[in-house]
Amino acid sequence: MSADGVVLLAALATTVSPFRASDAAFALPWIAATHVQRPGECALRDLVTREERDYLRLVNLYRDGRRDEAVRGLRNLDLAVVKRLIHNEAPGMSDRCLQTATLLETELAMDVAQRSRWEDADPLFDEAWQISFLIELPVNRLRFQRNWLLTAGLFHHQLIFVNVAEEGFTRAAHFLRNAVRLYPNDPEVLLAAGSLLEWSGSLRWGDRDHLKEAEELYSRARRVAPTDPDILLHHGCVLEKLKKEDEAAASLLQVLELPSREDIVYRSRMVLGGMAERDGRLADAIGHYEAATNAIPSWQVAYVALGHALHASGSHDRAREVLDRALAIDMKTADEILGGWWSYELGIALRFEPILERLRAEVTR
Amino acid sequence: MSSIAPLLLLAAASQEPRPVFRVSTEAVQVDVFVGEDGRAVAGLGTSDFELYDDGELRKVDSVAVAEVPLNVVLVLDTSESVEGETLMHLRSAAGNFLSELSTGDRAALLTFSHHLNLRSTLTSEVALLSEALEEIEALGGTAWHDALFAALEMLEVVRERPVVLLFTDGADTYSWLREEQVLSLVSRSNAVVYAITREERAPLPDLGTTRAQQRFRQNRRERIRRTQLLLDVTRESGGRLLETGSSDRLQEIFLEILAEMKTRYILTYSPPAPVRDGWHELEVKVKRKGVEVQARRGYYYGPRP
Repeated sequence: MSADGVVLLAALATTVSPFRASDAAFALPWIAATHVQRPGECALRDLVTREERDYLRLVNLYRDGRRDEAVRGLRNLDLAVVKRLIHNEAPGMSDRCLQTATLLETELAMDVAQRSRWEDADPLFDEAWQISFLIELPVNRLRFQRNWLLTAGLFHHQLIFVNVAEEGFTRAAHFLRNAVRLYPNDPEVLLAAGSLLEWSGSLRWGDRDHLKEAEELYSRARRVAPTDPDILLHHGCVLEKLKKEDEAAASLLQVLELPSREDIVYRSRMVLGGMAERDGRLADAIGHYEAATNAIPSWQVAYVALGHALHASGSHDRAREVLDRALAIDMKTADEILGGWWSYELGIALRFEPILERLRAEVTR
Repeated sequence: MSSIAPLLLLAAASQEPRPVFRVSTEAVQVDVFVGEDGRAVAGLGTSDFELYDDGELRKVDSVAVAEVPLNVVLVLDTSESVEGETLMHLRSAAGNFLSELSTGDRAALLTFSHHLNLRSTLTSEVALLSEALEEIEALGGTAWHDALFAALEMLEVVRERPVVLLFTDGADTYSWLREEQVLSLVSRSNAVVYAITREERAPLPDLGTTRAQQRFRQNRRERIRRTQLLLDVTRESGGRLLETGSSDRLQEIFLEILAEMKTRYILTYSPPAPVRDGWHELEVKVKRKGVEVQARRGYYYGPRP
């Protein structure tokens, strides 16, 4: 963990309840008399109300992998009760149980957010994050928060594709910027935050300074992971957007020398082709676009770009042939959701799913 | 091969898909709409027109009207934003448009979201087109720049009255082609482009100064700016942009455009040799007060700049 991360945590930790749990707490027989605790269950010392007992039951259901049931149950509980229970009245929960409580709250928040009820989702995400600060062991807490912030940030990032609005970027940036503060040299974190800012800065109404910020993040990521094709691609793309075309080309050409996924090769070729076309190097542009069509033949946009470059070079018959091929691609057989463009813009955001799965697996008994 | 935007016809009919510019035998065709108080002006002849090529008055050799068949590519936005009532109205409006085409007219159907989908190539079989219309669904983003390029390319080989009728909600979010590239393509094409958008460029009301209000105003400005490109594209080609805030007027607008297409004049003239390479500015005037003339603004001849 970096020094920055420690300072941040120390500062934030003062904002939450001082009660702490021991790792062994969940195994102690403090549960209410009506409930026979099983080994490994989450438990609290002074359960008073039925709602508190219900909440504990939901946490344990979640740990058993019965997520939908747990989230449905939590939806019916009063948030104030949960907050009071977790922050003030509970005598102790293990780190694992606090992680579970965080995730349960997060799942409910995601469920609410997916229904576009942002006003209701925001305090749930906030509460989930606050619970995560109660995790006692710093190493556990940091690792968990890194993954949780990435999940929450990328989850919001991918939701922006449904509703492109400034609020969406603000919400996603809130989590991802904190992830960067926590882990300032983590390539995955830097790539995630950079990807969001790159998109935001690319929009006409977006903040252009976000492109510069994204470039700095990618640049830092590249110093740590100099041969990561994803990072090189994104760095190349943002450099191109910042009109630093020589640096962009160098980064993208390096991608082509590495063993990379086909979608990464595709996008690199497209951006290299675009730069060549703007420079009037039509033969180079045609070469790059053709290579893109070869990388993923079912993605349409490279054919459109190739057709345009051929048209511009006077090869009208070939341009029409290529467009015919483009128009023959059936959306049902192509990649319906991603395609050439969305795979880049949305690809990093979709990483929230495996990270969330990992978090879920960690708390499941 | 020359890259000439307007209809450059060989006097001697050729079966080549793309005409070769031979100065001594060629003619330039310009597709023109003349309106007065929003209605088409009919009955005009060669002596009613003045045509300027780079400021030089040229003699109009002939004027043709409805007898020249149309070749229309319907380019329809089927992105997620048109889902529901708009899509229903769009299907119905396009269907009526097709059923009103004359014998000899041909139409093609190209739909787009972030993906381009050619539903039918140019055909005079309205039943096929109507069937294809029924299959369209709303899904995904908007890439009208790319779709317009594909439509213009389809019409490159068409000699008789190539027309594009584009419907979109105005905001291109996923095209590869940039705005300046689209304008350039239109200026080099023979086709007349009509566009219909749901966006309206009405003046902005005073929306106040709160952050939300400012953001709303900013988004609105952006939408207006994007609509401006549609306006530029249609003007460049000699077509027209029609705006509607509500999709239930689509049927009326589609039919209005078809009526306008059928009342356009095709002016033919012969530029004297040698024809200069590059952009030629065109201006068409009618010797009558109070009329509005829509015609393409020029054409390219020779190698591309």
